[in-house]
Amino acid sequence: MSNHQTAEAAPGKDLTVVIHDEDSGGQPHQVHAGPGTPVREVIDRFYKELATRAPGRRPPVLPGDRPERVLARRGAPGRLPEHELHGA
Amino acid sequence: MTPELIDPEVAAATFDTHLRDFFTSGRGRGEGWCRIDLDDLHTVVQLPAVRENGTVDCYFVRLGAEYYDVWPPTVAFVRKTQTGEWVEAAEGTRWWPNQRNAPGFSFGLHPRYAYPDQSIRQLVCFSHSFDYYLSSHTANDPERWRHGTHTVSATLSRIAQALHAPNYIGPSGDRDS
Repeated sequence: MSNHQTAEAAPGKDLTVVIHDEDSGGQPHQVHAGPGTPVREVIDRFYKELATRAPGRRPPVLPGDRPERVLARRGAPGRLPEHELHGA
Repeated sequence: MTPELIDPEVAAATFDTHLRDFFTSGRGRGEGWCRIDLDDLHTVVQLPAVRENGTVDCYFVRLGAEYYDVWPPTVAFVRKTQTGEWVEAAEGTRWWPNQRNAPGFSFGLHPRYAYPDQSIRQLVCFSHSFDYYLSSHTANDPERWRHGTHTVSATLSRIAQALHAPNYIGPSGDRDS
């Protein structure tokens, strides 16, 4: 897995660690921590969140996905009447 | 496993979604990145390469989604001709990078690779490039493309890592073509 991390903090302030999963892309993981939180706890929280997404963080494209994915790309609503789906 | 073409509408939709993600929340947000769509299944991505002294060179890679995302996108370094066509870049030009093979994963650049089907063409040799699986290379299990986990983000991020000092030296030459 390829990650890069960014963090911003001032002494005694809250910390937000942003972790980008460059393998799957999408929105980055964010772990928030308050003053005095041990670094180990932040790391543990990150791996806990990661575990809920892995493996296969993105659902694979399957034949049944076709209508929803294609319509989503065309900016159409998620569901259309059947005759529109079939172009009738 | 023999790769099979993906339904083009599904491949195009998936490819577009993942590219949008990359350019809105991944490395693609950064300076030097740009997306030039050729058609639904093909995009040229401009990406920055960083030399040891901080000099930034821009390269263009053409990505193809014919087998995406069951398989990775096709990848080729390209240049734009005076007539506006995108053609494969040649070694010795400023569009083909001089890269040292040490980015932390297996990566190689072959300007003229002899494929098992007898064709000779470019190979951007790493496990997140489709042509890698047509070549005589075999990926280790942890490096292999995993459908449902890896996206074009993995492909582009690894190329960016490979094209960053100390792995990247500079363009392979001064010529334009």
